[in-house]
Amino acid sequence: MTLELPKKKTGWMGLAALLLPYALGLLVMGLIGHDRGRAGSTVYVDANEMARTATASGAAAGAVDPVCGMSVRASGAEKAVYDGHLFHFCSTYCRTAFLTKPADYAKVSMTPRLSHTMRGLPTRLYQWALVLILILSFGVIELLAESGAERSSMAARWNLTAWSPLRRVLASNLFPFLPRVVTSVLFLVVIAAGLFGNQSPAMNIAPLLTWTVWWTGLIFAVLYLGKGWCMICPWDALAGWAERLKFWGPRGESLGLNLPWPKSLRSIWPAVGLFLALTWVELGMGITLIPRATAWVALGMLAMAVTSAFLFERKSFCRYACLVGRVSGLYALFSSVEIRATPSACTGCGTLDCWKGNALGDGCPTFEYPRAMKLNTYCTMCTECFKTCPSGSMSLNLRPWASDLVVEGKPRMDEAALALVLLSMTAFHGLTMTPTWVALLEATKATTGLSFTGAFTILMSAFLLFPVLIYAALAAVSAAWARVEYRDIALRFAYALLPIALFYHLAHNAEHFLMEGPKVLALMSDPFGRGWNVFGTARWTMTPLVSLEGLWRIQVLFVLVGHLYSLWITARTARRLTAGRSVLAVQIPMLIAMVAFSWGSLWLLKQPMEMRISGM
Amino acid sequence: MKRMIWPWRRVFQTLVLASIILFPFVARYGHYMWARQTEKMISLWGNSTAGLLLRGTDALMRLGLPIEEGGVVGRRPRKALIARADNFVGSVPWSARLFGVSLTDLLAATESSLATRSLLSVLAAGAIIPLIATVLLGRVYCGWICPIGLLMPLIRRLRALVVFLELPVRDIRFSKNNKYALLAASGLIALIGGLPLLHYIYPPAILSRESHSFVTVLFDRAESGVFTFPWSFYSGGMIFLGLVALVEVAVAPGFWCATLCPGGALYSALSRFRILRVKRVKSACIDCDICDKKCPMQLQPMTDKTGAECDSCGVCIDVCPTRALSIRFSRSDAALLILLALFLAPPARAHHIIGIPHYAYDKSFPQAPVLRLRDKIGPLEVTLTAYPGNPKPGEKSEIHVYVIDPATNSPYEKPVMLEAFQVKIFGFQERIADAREGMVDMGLHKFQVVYPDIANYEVVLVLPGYDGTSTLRFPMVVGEPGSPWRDVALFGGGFIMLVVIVRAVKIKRARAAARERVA
Repeated sequence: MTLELPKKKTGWMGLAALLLPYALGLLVMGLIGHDRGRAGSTVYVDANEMARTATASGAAAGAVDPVCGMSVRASGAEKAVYDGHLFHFCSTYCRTAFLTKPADYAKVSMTPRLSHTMRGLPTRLYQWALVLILILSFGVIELLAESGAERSSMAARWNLTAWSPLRRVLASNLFPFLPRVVTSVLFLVVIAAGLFGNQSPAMNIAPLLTWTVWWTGLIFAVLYLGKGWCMICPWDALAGWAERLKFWGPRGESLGLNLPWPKSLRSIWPAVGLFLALTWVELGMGITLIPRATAWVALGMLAMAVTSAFLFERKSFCRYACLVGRVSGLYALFSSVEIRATPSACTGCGTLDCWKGNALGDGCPTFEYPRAMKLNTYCTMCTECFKTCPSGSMSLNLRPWASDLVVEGKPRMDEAALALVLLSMTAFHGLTMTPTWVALLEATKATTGLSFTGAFTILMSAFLLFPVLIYAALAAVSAAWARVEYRDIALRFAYALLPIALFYHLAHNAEHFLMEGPKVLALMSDPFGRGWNVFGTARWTMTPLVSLEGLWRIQVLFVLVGHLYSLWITARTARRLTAGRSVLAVQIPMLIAMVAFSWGSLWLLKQPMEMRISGM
Repeated sequence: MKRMIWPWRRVFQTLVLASIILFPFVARYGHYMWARQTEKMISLWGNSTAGLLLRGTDALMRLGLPIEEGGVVGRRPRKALIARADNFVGSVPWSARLFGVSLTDLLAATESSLATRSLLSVLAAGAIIPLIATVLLGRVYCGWICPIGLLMPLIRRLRALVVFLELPVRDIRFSKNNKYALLAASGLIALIGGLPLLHYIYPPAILSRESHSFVTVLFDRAESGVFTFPWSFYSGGMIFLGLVALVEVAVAPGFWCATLCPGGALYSALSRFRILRVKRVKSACIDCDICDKKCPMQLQPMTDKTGAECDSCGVCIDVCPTRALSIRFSRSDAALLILLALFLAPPARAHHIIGIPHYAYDKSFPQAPVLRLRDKIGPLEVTLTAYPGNPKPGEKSEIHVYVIDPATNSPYEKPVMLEAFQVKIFGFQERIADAREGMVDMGLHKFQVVYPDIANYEVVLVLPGYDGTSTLRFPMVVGEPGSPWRDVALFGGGFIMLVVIVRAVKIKRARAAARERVA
């Protein structure tokens, strides 16, 4: 029972790099905790509760903010008196807004409404964040990139599997199986609720659990657990069980055909296509608010997973086509855990059990060669290599963030494209929840004469291309300036954009996760909206985890951190590509791109956001 | 060149099937013509499914007629079109009026009479021609008219696919007496309990009912402004037909017509003394057994074992290599003349509403499920108006019922009760509103109904003051109902298909590999 400390040679800087992710995590938790007192005054009331309140004419305990429409708990909230009535507010901003035009707001507040708007970053915070980004971009970054200590500190690793109980768990046949049973049951509950439950999104657990808790939580999980989701993924679990009629241990006899995955599709383009398709149905058809459609998407993914499992060898679907796996796979380059082989233990190995499989476990299901694996992208953390390796070479390591992004990898066209698509689609995702979007959509509909779907498709394509074009143009400038191959620049620096995309994604998701997520506790007791109360929590009114002010701080922090990492990776990549004056030539257009994208992120966060729960 | 029988039979059956599909459209078209709404509907519905189908019906009905009436060019010749539509009323082959001649399926007539314990003149009039045809010619209905005779052989071709997929198939022969037992049992139930059940499982009835139901749902929804395709028009009958098809394909080909169809049982029983029979020239017969194998009714023409069960389909005659078989009138060809003369019998008019036959109306005979907002109950005319037309789940919606006696032109003031049921999958119903009296306001009976979910509902009106039993059923569609079970079935069916195909490929591969090893 010894916990090996990080290797000496990386020194204190290495330890700091290892602990940085946790420090940041603690900081965010601290911000949340510090904020609890104030957060308590803002509560959500679900739609049916609101309707009840509206009919009962004048609620006693809860009140509705007349400005943003959010429900607030009367005690501890900001107050103002107008025309003999007492009004409550979620924040000082809403109170100020109210006091400028009290008559208008007071009139509006008399009519009950089932939606609310979340105020975006206040102007001052937005401007300060922008200033910080500019300072960091052109000042601090040079210092960071030049420091020699950096290189060694990134090599810091903490082998968790040196602790033998953990290794035994990972090598056990029951390990991925038991958590997979739990997720599979949850998955089936979501499908059943979506299909058979109450079709009001406010009273059905399927949309909230899928889109607000799982899909947003997944991105948070990548930071600290890497591809932990793939390990417990119910699609693959159910497909695998059905294909083998076997629940644990090596695959053995299979009912499937074990065809090789088609050569022409051996890239992640299928996954990129699926990701775009999902974004299209999610936003273009509003499936996040339709329980049944949520179930259809879940069943559709399951259908694809099962079909691939029966037709193709190993887990081809996970490697090439699964959009969740590929999106989290790319993000996992950043994550703070990894599964790697120990080179010293592998020398002299002639059996290649980790690739071929043996009586104890399968060969790598996603066609990686664990002994030589350098990047997290395609590792699903299924722990089969822990089971097969006879010499205990595999280890689960903690590592500094972004470790995979600074090592020299072979850039791939499809991965670079997915990185850019992630950047533009997460931003687009945010955009569709702002009032600007409504104006844009209406204008497009009016000028083109198209229906909603047509206009949406046009705008989505435009926003898909917009960041890509900016990036391509700036990459061309930097290639011409520094006389480096354009392809090298365009592909390599796309990876450097990943932290910006990831942390904007987090900032955006934080809003959903922290503000709407707690409602899942209430829905848990009545997942089908049938008036059950299984755990006795069905009547709970859930408060958001943070107040608006607290959320803003967290969001700005995320954007800054993402920007810093992107800059730093840019600097490292530039130095690897070229030397001397051209480093700067490569870097400056890229810096402009990064600042533009981070600015875009902040601008989106500044916009008021129509909350998903407004329909829920 | 041998003269084949089967092309003629196929032409006949195809005509009947086409009529089954087209008659509901014709009926609806006639309905709109009466109401002078055709032009409006055509222009209003544009290129939606309903609009295209209505325009297609219009084009078909106007074939050969100039668009001109009373000297006005461009106006549809309303009277001529209505007269045309009136030639094709009802739902073939279950019950129809063709060119003024009423034809009622004998099974429907028998069951309806048993259930109501009365013989209505309209029913008897419609049954005369089919009855005489059956007595003289045997089961020609089965062989030449029933659409199942056309559809089932097509469906049975899937058997080759099942074999190709390496799934086991069986060829079980049941006793031909089963169908008589079924007929007798349901006849007894109808007589004792007043419950006619056979129309649920009698394939021609199911097909014509579904066809009407499709057209009615499609156009009624179009009338209330919903133009999507009515996927949910089918009832439990279709599922039953699917099950029959499944058994036919996988377990017992030909079992339905030969051994279980209650209609077939009735026709067989009636054709004991038929004059149209398959004849065999013994000297020409080479005992090759081909006709026995091919007989769809599982009979043995080679040893003259045909008799009352034979449906005169002519398959044995077509396949006989030595032309030893032929179909002949045995008693006297004069019988044919009697049959022809009967077609000239004065037309009896059975009671049809929007193409649906109505017999023993007042005796609670269950009608084909039809969406309709106007109806009659005895002499009374009932108008049901629902506000809104397509109500939202969970919201209060109003139903106004106006009942008037056209003879005295006075509204019906006695209480009208309303019940509401949610129609679940396979036709199960769940009561969502108990019977209650409406609020009477100026002769208008007003009700409020809350439909809990997106689903199909049935609103039932009871007039206890009229004769104590009369009910009217009005379908009601709330939202765009689709059964979640459909999604589950789709997914499950797809999964099973995948497993079956993968399994078949594996078996074929293993077999090919084994062959290669041997070679």
